[in-house]
Amino acid sequence: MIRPLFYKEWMKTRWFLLLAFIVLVGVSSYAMMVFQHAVSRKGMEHLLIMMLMRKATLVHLVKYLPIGVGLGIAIVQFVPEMHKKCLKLTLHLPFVISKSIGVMLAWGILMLTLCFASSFLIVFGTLYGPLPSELLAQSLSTLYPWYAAGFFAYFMVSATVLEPTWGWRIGYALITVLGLRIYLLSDQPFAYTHFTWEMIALIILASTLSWQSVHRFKVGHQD
Amino acid sequence: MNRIYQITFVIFIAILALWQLPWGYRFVFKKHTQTTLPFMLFSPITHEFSYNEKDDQNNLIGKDLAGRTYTSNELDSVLPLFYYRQLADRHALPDTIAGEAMPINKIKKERFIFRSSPDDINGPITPLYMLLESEPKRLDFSFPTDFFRCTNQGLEFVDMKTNKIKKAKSEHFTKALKAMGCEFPIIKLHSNPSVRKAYDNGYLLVDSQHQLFQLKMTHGEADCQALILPNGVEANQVFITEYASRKSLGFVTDMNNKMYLIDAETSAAHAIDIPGFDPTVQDIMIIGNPLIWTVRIQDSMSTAYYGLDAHDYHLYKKKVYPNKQNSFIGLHFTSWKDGYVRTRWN
Repeated sequence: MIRPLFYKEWMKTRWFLLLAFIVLVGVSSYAMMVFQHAVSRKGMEHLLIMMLMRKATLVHLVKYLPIGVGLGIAIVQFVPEMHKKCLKLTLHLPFVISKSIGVMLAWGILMLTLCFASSFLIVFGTLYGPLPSELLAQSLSTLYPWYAAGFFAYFMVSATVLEPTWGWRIGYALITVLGLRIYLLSDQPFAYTHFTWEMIALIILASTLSWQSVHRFKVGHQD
Repeated sequence: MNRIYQITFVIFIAILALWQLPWGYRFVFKKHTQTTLPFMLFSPITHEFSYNEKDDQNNLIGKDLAGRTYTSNELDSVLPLFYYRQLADRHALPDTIAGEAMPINKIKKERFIFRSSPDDINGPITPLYMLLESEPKRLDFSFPTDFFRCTNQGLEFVDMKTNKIKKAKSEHFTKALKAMGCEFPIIKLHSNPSVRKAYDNGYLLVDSQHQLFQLKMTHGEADCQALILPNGVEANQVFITEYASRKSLGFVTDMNNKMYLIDAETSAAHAIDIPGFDPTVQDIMIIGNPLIWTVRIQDSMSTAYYGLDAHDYHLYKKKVYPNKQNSFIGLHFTSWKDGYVRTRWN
């Protein structure tokens, strides 16, 4: 049953995934091309000194993209389920409901991981050779809170879309906005060094809300 | 199972409420409850803290803590080393102040402002440092072509262009510091890596035994010295200074938060007569001139002003204002004391 469910998710999300992949990989590549262009024009020394003195990270262009990708995948995955009433059919499949939801969310996690890992590898692969490890860490340390924000956005928007009542939808939307603000509080390198576990905990908490929405849908709450 | 989901939702709401409600409360009410202290300076004439304030008609009037009031021109004369340009413009700058000859060039040369904030000390840093050539061939300084990092074994210079370690230079500088008695790793260091300055004092370094050193690069060679601290004093935090007077190498605080000034000529450490300064939690501003230092130290509990003699750093007068305590405790993720995002209650 897992493979047909994955296929269903693939059919819904493939075009958006292609777009998200192209945009994320394209912008990450562009950021690295800007870096290489600056090196060829001004020299590596100048660039590294600017990185050190101005705390530049070279990856600021990527900042809001993971959130956009997370939000987009959640929408293309779950809006058709609700709009075309497909969720009701999914819930009537000969498969445990919680597992069905789990498979759908696992698809989203898998796709987000693929997109974010591609972007990360482009940045890492470009900067690993020329930059000292400290400056490499400076750049990468600003990236991972943005990727985490992408996962958080995905789970919260999924829960919001799956939620059958407006009251809870508004509550989830509020949590989404404020929760995302936590991930974007600072662009400073290494700022989230002591907040990694809290970021993960928030994502785990957010991931459970979709089941609650579906449970409420199943028992018949509806506006 | 449904209960678990509801608990999750409640946890979320609780976290966000504990974070946003105190913020909202402060946003609405803070301006009504907070009092701002005036910008005060210690006068070498009246030996009292003096400041400017606006009256009901929005006119500037001078005041001091003894209760005297001044016109703007009178306040210029009470704080002649701060408003020396105003006085010079009116041809009212005296030849002597507090019995000392005070030509305008001496005032210009010996005035300085030193500032440090907990954010500078506690904030996240990228642990790579640049050592400038202290005696460049041309007049202007230029940035080096390598960084150095502090390892447990010594200093390690990395070529910026190739990202390769410069072994010979690393060994040379490490050996030079070891010859001075430095025991690695370096635990604190500070410099002013700007190229737009008149001269270079290099780095002040604190080693693992809390000894203090100065490191410069002169004609490509290591130029270092051990700075002798008073008996029993262990260096903790260091601040290089490169003021026009060239009188000091920098400030240093010890493990008991006592503050010292390192004399550039003798390399001796002179204790500054203030009760204590902890750079990790306190903000400091020193406004210095040839006769008087006004020191302001702020933290969450109080704001303290000290008027010191600029010759031997003894205390003339102090004034401490307790800060209003925040009665609304909440959850915060950022702080002015460091640049990290982390969970904190205050």
